[in-house]
Amino acid sequence: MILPWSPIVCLEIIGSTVTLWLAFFCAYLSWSWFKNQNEDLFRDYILLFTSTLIVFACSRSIGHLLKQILFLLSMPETWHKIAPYSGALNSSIFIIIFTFCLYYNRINRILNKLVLYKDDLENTVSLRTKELERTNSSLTREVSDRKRVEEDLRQSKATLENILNSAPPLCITDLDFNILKVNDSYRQVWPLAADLSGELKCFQSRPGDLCHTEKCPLILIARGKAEEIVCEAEKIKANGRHLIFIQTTRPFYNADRELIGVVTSFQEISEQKKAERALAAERENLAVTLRSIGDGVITTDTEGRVMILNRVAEKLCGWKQEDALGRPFPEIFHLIEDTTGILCPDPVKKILASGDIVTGGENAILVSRDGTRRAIADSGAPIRNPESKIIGVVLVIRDITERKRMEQEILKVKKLESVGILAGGIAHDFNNILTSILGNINLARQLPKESGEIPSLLQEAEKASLRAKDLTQQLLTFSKGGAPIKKTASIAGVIRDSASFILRGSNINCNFNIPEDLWLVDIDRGQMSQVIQNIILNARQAMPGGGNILISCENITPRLSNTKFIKIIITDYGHGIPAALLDKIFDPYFTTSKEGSGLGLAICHSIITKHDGTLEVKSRLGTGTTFTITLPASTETVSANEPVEKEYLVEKHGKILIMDDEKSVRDIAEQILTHLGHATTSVEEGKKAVEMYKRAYESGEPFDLIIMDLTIPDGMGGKEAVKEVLALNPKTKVIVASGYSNDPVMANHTKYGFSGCLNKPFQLQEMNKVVQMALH
Amino acid sequence: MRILYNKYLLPISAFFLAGIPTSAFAFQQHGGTEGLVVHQIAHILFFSGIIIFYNRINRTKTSGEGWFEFNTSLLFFLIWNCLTFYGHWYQSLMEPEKFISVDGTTVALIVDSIWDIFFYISKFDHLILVPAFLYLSFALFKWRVPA
Repeated sequence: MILPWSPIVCLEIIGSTVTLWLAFFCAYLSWSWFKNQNEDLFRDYILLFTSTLIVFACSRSIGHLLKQILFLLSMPETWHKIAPYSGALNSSIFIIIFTFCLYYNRINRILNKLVLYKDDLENTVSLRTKELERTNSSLTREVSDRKRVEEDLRQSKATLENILNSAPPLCITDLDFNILKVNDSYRQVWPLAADLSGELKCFQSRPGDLCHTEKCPLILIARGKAEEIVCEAEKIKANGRHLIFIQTTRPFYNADRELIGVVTSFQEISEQKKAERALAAERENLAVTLRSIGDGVITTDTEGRVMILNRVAEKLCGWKQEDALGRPFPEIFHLIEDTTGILCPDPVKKILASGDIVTGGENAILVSRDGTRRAIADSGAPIRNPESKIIGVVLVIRDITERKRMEQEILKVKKLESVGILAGGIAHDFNNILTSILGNINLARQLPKESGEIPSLLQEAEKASLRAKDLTQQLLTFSKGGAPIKKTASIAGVIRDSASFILRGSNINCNFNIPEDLWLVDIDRGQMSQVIQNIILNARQAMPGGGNILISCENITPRLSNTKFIKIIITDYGHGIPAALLDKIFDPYFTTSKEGSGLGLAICHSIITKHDGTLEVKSRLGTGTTFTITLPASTETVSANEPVEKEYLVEKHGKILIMDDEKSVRDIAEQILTHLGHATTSVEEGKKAVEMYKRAYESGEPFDLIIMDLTIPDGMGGKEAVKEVLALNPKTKVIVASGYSNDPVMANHTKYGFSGCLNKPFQLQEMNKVVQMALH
Repeated sequence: MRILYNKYLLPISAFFLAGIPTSAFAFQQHGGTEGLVVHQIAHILFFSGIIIFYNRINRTKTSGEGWFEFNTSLLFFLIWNCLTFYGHWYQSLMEPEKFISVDGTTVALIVDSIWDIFFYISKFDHLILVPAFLYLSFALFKWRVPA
């Protein structure tokens, strides 16, 4: 069998080429590996092994390719010449590879040993390095600690030096009197100690009275007789300044607590001494001032114990300062109220509690130790230290006994003056009225009975009597009993009606500026109307040529009070009131007008005062006048309705008992009532009236009505009698009659059990109306 | 490269390099008996070296990346070595007439026995050598990459 040789040739060409290429690729990879990890001996070995294989592959492949090329070129002889070299090279490489393989194990062992040695060496080096690091660290720490300690020591030394030099003068002396160390302050005061290079004794540096004596502090401490010696030392400086020190000497020990000297410190007290002297002088001045002052001055501490009592206070209280010192304030200061005699509260306690200035009234009486009573005015204030803390109380008292007596005298004189004016005015008016009444009645009596002029003369007399009635009504406004009958109402209507009524027919225009939400007030409509009318009338008289009046109202809420007010401001633009007359215009019977009675503004003032309000006036001559009325606002929110008077078509007639102390009144009342168709009986006193009523009541014919006078001098009045009558028969109808028309009983008669009230003087119609109202 | 300084390696290498035979042939016909013997001994030494190396490697470094490829490469080299060793030996015994030449170039082989067929097959040794190098390259490729 013949097999072709060409496949072998082809495979040789292709295989050699691929082998050659792979060999170079392996060489590249081997070199790369070697470069990447150049610390591995095994890898070095593999590199050599691979390199020899590569050389083998190159040699063989190149040889085979060359052979095939030469055969194709028909040059087999050339190949036969080269072939031995190629084969020898291959053999050599085989042998080298064998050698490498043979020595692999040995090299590997060496390698392993080397690795172990290396590891061991590295471990040893690592351990040694760590040990060295530890040692180094320890040494570094020690060095650092040492440096820190040295630095601390340096800083401590500097600190001590600073402290020593910042301290007051200080000197350290050994037991042989040698000065060891002094600070800067010491050197400044005693300059001899500036240089301590030589020997300097303490008595040389600062000679003193105690030097070389048994009282020398150093000697005393060295002998163990004292642990601390404090005394005063003095030094007069070169500039003449006198320095005073507190010298404190203490033992100076070494580190083993052995006494090696003394430390003497000097605290300068020159300024303190100066201040103490100044303070003492100040106290002396204060004491002298207090003793010389005209008012009484008492000071206490915070517990109310007396500390200072000046001469005037001694006199007023009756206590000497030595005796009063330290005693509780209430023990020496007895203050009672002038009117009640009740002991006044302790002002010191009040001041300590409030922390404010407290001013007492002028109605206090100081009862001294011997019982003497003096009117005093006092005021007190807390004494505060610079931190505003209360450290005591100062009370100033002044004897005002003489001043009060003088004031009362002046008041009496003024009252007499007022009463004189009032009495003069009343006398004048009543004389005029009485002249008219007496004249008309006298004239009527002179005329024959059938004369037709008598009724007109009597009518004139009646008119004059009614004027007298009006006058008495006005005068009653000033009386104590003239209390207003207050009802909650809006004052706006009263103002408008009153002003319009007075200004009717005049050439004066009245402008109103009254807010819709004006608060309600508790007022007596009649009295308040009278006030507005009087003021408007005043304004009208101030503007005879006409003009404008402005009435405005406003609500007022004070910031410091819960009470609300309304304000009524009435401004006219008339001739004004001279300033000199402004404080007299409210005096009764004071007038500048020929038409006025002088009672109008006085009545206004009285009414407003009784309404708990105020009336003020401001005026500028030629510009106008402004009256300002202030009234407290009502707490009610709804107006009270006015009672409606009823008209009675059918008149009733009854049995009526009249009680009045004035016979003339009883007579005229009986005549009027009889004239009106009633059966009447009269008595002059309350008890009799009660007895008569009781008898009639028990007999089964009781009185239908009793008319009682409110006040009976030296007897039972209507106020008391009505109670007894009503006790007998609660259904009894009683009318109260009085000339004190503004008496509270008259104002609130129903509250006292009366069915009606009748103001004296009364007329027939009025009496009939009241009687009918009661009988119905 | 420290391995080059080994005290045994250098003398052995020098001996074989200095003793290159004048007509030593590789897979080709060698000029004389000596050349052939030297080459065959070289093959035997190569075979022995690879066996020892394979054995040592498998005792020490068998795990890890690339070692399978490296061992496979060594096995291919052993097989190739056996194949070429047979080819060299058998060709020295063959009669020249068995090679049919045209103008001095062999074009066919007369095969009379199984040994001749083996010889013919041994001439396709690149089919073993190429995989050997291929696996070697795989191993090196894996080792090259740092773990």
